[in-house]
Amino acid sequence: MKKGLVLILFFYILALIQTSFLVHFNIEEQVPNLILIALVLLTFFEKPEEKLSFFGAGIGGFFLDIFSNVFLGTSIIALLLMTFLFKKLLEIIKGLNILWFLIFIFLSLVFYNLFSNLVSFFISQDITAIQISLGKVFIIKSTYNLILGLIAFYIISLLKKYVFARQGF
Amino acid sequence: MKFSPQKRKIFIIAIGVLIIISLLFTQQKIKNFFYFVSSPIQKSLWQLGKKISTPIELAFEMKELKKRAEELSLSNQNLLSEIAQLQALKTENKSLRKALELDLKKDFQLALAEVIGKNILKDTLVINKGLLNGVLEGMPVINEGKVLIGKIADVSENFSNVILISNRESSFDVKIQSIEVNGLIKGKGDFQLFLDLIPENQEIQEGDLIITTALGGIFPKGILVGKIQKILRSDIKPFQQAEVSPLFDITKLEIVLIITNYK
Repeated sequence: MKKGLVLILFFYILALIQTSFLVHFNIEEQVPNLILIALVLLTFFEKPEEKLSFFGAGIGGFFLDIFSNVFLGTSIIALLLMTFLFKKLLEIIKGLNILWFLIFIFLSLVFYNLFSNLVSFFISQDITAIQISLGKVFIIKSTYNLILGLIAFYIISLLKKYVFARQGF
Repeated sequence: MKFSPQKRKIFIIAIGVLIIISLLFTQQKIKNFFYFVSSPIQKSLWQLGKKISTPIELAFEMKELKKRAEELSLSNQNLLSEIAQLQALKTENKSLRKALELDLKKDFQLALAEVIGKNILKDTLVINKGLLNGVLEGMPVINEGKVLIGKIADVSENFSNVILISNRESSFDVKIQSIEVNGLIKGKGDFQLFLDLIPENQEIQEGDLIITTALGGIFPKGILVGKIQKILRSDIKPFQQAEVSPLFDITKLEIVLIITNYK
């Protein structure tokens, strides 16, 4: 219950930062998706039997939908599906490390964009809406997210080692 | 009452689906509530971001600024001679405008709105005007320079969502100003625009300005949309295409104008 409330507040703050603060730190009009990074971190660091990441996916998706024009539920479904896939992948993968984390961040970006584009396609019936541009913009977006993800990974690793372990997280 | 794990999973999924369905019917009210609660925090975060980013931007752009200053001083000389010519044209234009009563205010009824949130990832804005201020879905949104920003997508009581022209769901008819040729602008997401359906035999150039047409009835005619950045020609396609850059800077957008009515 306590963890859930903390998570709701945390994702709400991330959504506000993403839509109001980070706008000023865009690179070629690209800002990192903090909620996506936080969710991948949560999925990656929680114990395999824990299910908090699914709750996080629902809440994160909810706030992503609130602060955009998409139908409420679009990002919720996208993030829930993504978390489910990642959980399955995490069961298979042996020897998780930072490289796997970065791969997960990259996959989450591709998955989320593809899912959003699919929804756009169903709304607009325009086949070009499905395309994901793998050009300069995508490279900038991915790099920005990966760098922030990398920093967050090390911060959480340190916190887990020294703070969370003592508090039983 | 105890459920088996299988039944519990089905129960949770069913509850989830029910929640999502009920959200669809009440989404405007939910969004309005969150915008209402969040707007003071968003404003503070916005100001803070602006305060921190300005000196950082300046440091990064110093070299670029020096280069631009040199370029500008060169173009300044050219502009000075053009100003003299334009002064004469201005006087002529003024008298023509007066004669034709073509005042901007007479073309549009405008409502001023403040930007309270920007979702660059989704090419949308949130503004502080809604149904109670007479804002309706589909109304065009421009800036003070008569540059098209987007249109109202969904409206709650006190707030509205604006989908930018670069949003993937946006497409509308336009005209290349210099050659008076029609085409179609599509949003490509990530703040990018794509110009399509320009006949092969038409000579388009990088830097050409794109304006709206009255075709399709989405936007009033003559509003600036963007500038051609890169022309994409193909031997196998019957039409020319081009990458177009919008003419507004999303990071500097704080006040927008909603066209509530136009002739």
